[in-house]
Amino acid sequence: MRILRELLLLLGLMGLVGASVFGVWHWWPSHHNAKYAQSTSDNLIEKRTEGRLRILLRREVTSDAVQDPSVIEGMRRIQERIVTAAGPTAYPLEVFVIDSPTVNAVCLPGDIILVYSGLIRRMESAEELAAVLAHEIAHASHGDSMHALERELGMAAILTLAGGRSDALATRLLRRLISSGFSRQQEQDADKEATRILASVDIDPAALSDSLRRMRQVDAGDSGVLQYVSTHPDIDARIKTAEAVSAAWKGKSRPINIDWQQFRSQFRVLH
Amino acid sequence: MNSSIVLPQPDEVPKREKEDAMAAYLMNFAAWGAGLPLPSLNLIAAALYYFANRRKSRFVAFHCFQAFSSQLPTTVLNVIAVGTFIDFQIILDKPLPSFFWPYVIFAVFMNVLYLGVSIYACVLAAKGRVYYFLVFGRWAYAKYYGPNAMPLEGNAPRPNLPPAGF
Repeated sequence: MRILRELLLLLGLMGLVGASVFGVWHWWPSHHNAKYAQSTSDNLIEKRTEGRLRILLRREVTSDAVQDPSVIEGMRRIQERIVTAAGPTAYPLEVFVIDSPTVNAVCLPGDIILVYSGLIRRMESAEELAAVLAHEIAHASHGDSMHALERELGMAAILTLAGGRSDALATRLLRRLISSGFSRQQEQDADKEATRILASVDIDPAALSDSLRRMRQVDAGDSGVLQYVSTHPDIDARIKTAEAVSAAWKGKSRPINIDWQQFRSQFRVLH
Repeated sequence: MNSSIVLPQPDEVPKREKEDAMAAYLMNFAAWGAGLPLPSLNLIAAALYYFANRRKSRFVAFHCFQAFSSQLPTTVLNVIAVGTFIDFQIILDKPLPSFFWPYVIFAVFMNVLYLGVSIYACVLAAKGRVYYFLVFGRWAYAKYYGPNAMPLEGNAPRPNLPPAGF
């Protein structure tokens, strides 16, 4: 039957076009962020290595993370609000709260985000914490952590690290990652994406400038524990940019459904 | 053999029928713009046009049926794209699945391909010619001319021929 042959030809043609588009999309190294594109083979190695690092780092982080159900629930609510507007990440996004006086939030390879309780205590609203999270999620969806690590250590060193099994190695890698920062351009892009995410979910982008200002204010008295400013450069310029976005924002702010004072008070007073 | 069913040649098709046949494809393009948010709208418009014109002549009915039925694959693709978007973004309020954007690119590519073929068929219909789409051309031919349809006898050139195999 010729009609069946033509039907098979049509379906084959559609399958071929579909497979080509999906194939190119999947393997195209820059579909998340063209600015940080690498060759396809590099990207494949990078993705596999990132997967190994994720396992290594996740194991290391989980043991230190706050396990209190009310903290996990509170973070889930904030994360849930903003993640709907965030770009895709290579791995399921995971946010861990670390009980420590350190004022910092970090995006690790494998789309793991660490938020220190010191930072949560500094924030005056759930929206401010959401802004910090949106910024870190933007780093995750841009794949910045792997690029930063690669820039710092080189791919060969990362591959060696990812192949390792020892906990000591994972601890050293984690320390290195926490203390290292992103480039100015990566920070600007993450801020731009964070303000977009916030605006999309009815949070005033001013939450980002407020959170940055709060971290800058505590710098003088708490330099020993404040890592955020040192790992996130150009804080003044970033505040101004976020303020400009907020001024142009025409949306109506909708608060996050969480008792912020109660949530914040759950963390020990360590500082 | 039913000799009363003939596949007309361009000079045997009245001007009005050529215009009606051409309009079947133009109808698709016109409904496309309006149908973008509701992708089934252009299929409904084409179906209405087909049912309104199918009794005019075999030539018109053939083109109307081909224009209508050939929209089915792209309509299904478009409905899935719009349906997924509405489902995830409006009903579930969740981020779009990872396959969504490559799927949209695929659907757009298929739509553009279909648009090109439709324009070609539209131009030929305006000249009184037939053009057979994959599957749907053969289906429309079988429905309105069938295996017994013959081109008129004579020495004149006959650009309109049955699809291969008929």
